[in-house]
Amino acid sequence: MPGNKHPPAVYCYDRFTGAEKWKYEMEYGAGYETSTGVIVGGHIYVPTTNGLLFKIPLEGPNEDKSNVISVKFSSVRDPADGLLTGLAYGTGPATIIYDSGALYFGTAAGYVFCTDLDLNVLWKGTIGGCVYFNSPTISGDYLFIGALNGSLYVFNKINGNLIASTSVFTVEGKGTGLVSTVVMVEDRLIFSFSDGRGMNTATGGFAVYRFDGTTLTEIEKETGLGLCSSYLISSDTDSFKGAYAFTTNGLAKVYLDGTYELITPGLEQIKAPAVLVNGSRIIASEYDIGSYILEFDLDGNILGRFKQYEGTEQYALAPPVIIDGWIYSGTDGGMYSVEGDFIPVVKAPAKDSMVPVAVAVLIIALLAIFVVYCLYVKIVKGIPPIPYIRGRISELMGTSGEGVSKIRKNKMRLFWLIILGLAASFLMFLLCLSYGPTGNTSIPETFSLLRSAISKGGQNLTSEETIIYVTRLPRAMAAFAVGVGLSIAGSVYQAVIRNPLVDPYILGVSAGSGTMAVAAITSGFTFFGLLSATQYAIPLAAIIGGLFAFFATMLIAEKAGGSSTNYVLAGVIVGLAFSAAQTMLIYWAGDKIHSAMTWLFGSFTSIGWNNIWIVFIPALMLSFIPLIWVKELNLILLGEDQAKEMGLDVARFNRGMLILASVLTAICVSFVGIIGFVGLVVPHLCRMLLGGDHRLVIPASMVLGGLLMMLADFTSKMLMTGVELPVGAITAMIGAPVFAYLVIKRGRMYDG
Amino acid sequence: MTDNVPLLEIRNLNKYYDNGYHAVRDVSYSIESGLLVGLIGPNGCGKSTMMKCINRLHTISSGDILVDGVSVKGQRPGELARKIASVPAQLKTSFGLTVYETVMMGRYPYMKNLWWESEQDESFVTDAMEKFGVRHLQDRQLHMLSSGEMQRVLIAKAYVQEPRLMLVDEPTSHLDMRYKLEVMEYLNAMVQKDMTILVAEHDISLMARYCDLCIIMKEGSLFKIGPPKEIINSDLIEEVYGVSASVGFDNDGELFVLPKRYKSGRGSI
Repeated sequence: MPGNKHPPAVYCYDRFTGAEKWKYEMEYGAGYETSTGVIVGGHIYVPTTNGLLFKIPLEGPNEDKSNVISVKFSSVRDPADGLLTGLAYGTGPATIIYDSGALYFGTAAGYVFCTDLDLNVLWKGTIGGCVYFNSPTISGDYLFIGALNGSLYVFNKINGNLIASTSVFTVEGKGTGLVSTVVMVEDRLIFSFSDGRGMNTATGGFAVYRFDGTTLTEIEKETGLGLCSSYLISSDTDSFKGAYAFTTNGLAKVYLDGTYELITPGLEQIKAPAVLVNGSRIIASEYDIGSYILEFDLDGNILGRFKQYEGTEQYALAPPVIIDGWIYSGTDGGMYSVEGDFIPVVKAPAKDSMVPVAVAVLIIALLAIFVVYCLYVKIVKGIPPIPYIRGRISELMGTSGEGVSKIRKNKMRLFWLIILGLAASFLMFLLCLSYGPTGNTSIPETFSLLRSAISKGGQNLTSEETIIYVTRLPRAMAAFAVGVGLSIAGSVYQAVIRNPLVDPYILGVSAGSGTMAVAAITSGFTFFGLLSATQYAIPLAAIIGGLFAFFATMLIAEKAGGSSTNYVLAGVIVGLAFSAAQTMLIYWAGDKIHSAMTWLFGSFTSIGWNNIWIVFIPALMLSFIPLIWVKELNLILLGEDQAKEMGLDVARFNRGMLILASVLTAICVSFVGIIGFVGLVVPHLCRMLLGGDHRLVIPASMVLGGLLMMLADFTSKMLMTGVELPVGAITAMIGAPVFAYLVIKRGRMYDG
Repeated sequence: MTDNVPLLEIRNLNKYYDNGYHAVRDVSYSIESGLLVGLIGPNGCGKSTMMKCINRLHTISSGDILVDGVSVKGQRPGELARKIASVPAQLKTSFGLTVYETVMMGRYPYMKNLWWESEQDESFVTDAMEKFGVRHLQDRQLHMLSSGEMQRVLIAKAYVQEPRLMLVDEPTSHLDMRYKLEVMEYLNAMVQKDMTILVAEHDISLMARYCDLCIIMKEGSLFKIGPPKEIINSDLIEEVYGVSASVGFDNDGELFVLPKRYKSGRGSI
């Protein structure tokens, strides 16, 4: 809502760009619109403080505004209905709600209206106090509404008959009081109340009443927590029946018997309605200028927070709106949107703060020993220390030394490669689980949380277990599997095509996947309804598109003679064709361009327990298959003729390997998008470090690929707080300098 | 193997390419075991095509090729690889393979394990590298070798394949005279075994010096076969290459060919 310098207006903005689409200005009004409108059936219904209720089409008003309906709900009370008690405002309708075909709202003149969607009044009820800001509540056949005379009213929502009313709280002698919006759980009504003195309110709390269909009975009135926010969040689950209330003392659970539990003490003032997201998170805006939006779990733990837009001049009173991971929030000073994870609330450092000190001491001690040993070698033996030590280490590891057979040395190299690779991968895996924007835990803590979460079978987890087991574990697994898969696909492609520039996307797989995924995202194309909008629509479209592109490449290449050069050329052609189609789709994508680009850049955010298996198991299984053919992969390096003379059916082998690598690539790409560089760089790194023998290169690509991808995903989460960077960019940022160095040092191996 | 079965027998071999070109025309000959055989002829005379028919890189259009009396048709590639090895003129890419790894690949047709070669394979490979003078280069990557070293590595690789017949395609084309002789010495040393080596080569003097037998091809047909010193003379050179050359013997009795003039319709160019 605009500040009070402007006349009231309704704005429509683009979700992603923030560009103004249309604006409807009311001619006059009090200027401090606080009530919340409602969007129903293609129209937005907006109450204003001058008493007018507007119905505006979502596509915006036309030239002469003839498609906008407005009806006056006067703030002036008909004297025949008696005087209002308590504080009264000169405003019009309060916050509107929609229920089964009708709109309901109270007004400042002390009436309750039920209208149809064209704003024709269906019934009108009379109450004794002014209604301002708060909305009615519908539950069953009943409508509950509180007013500024401190009373609570119950109407029949069908015909508007008053069923019951009761005075909840008034200030002695003055008759002021306030009953705010009610939540109903089973037969209990829970709501906040106060002395109803607006900005000067001093006394308040929450109340629990029972309503049996005819009468209201007080169960509890509690002022021990101080003032209580107008809107409560109801909870009707097996684990908690009651309501969440933000109070002066913090966030509290209110139970049906009127008892309460303060679960998060010491919060700033929260006045705007908080929002329950996906039944598992509570998002609330603090009221003061420059304060935070907070994310809570259902146990009241603060999972993250985001400082509200710096330019905010005024107070937050409107509820945030959450769509697809975006938060849209308005304050008295402007509107803003936030995407991405909340900034983690860093927990207090681990109790045993001796650990980092011990680690540091250990590292320094090891360094000192190393330096002393180097000096000893240099002075006593008179030889350069580093090559000597390297030789000694490799001798100890069994990877060098006189009189040891090469095969034995290679076996030892493979052994150490697997041991060290798995150890490093495991460490990285634990780091991915322990650290994230939603809070950090120490590695032993992570370990025990993970064990307890697994032993619970993923049910009834605490919030820390949820973060590790539900949010981070599948994501780390996917990063590992995709890293392994892309690296293996890259190794196989490079060996079969014998071209160092080849990456898993050379045969058009990524372009095909990207095109179909973008088609699915932007136009909802679902293969003629075969994949009707399930969560698998985009991944399946990507797999189908990738395989289709690959088979197109294969068809062209085989027609042209089937040599590896034919494959590269055909892949380039098919890739270009699909890229052109993709560009067209993106050009017409409109407001879906953001989702499309996010997919194309690659991201692990869409991975969860429901879909991890579709990536993890096939990617790892297919990655192990080339291990059976490492000898043949070596042989093919000598050239197709040589390999053929040595007894290999080259055409069949090449075709089989290319199909394998392409299916692997399509699976990797389908859920996480097009993550570049890993499939190109990892095989090269391994070759440059270990030589051309695929018996070492393939296993090394596996561990290094998984490791690098987890590192990239970890970095994309941690590099900038509050923003998740595209993981594909991170892989390139990590990979490019390392690769450049190795090309300079060892690049000659690809000559001639 | 009995004495009356030749190591390589070619019967009425014909090869047509897909475009109808008749590259090898009705070639027949047979070669005994333990010979160094030179295959001579101008560019495009069908030398390489015939060699590729022998190791089944090309399909045979008609006729037959028998190794130790068994037709190469219908033999599985793995079986054939234990009888015939070939040494390419050069390797296009090496992708970081080392000398050791390359020579070891010669053992591929004999490998029984899924993953590693046996210790016997390794000692065989080590001996071969010693024999061909590349042992000291064993951890060097192929791209770092000189042409002569590379050729020796490829010969060593073919050697560990323990073939009956080794096909060598233009082994000395990139080499200076010293390395040419060196390569031929190595080839010559190998034929002591139960193995015949078929070398396609342009240097006729070199062939005449080392080969036991020469096969002269012209325009896809077998032109002449016999001991080099008996069949090579200036008439043959003129007929096969269209070049007038003087052919003579030096003081050691070695044959040399000195090309003098290209014979075109107008005489000299």
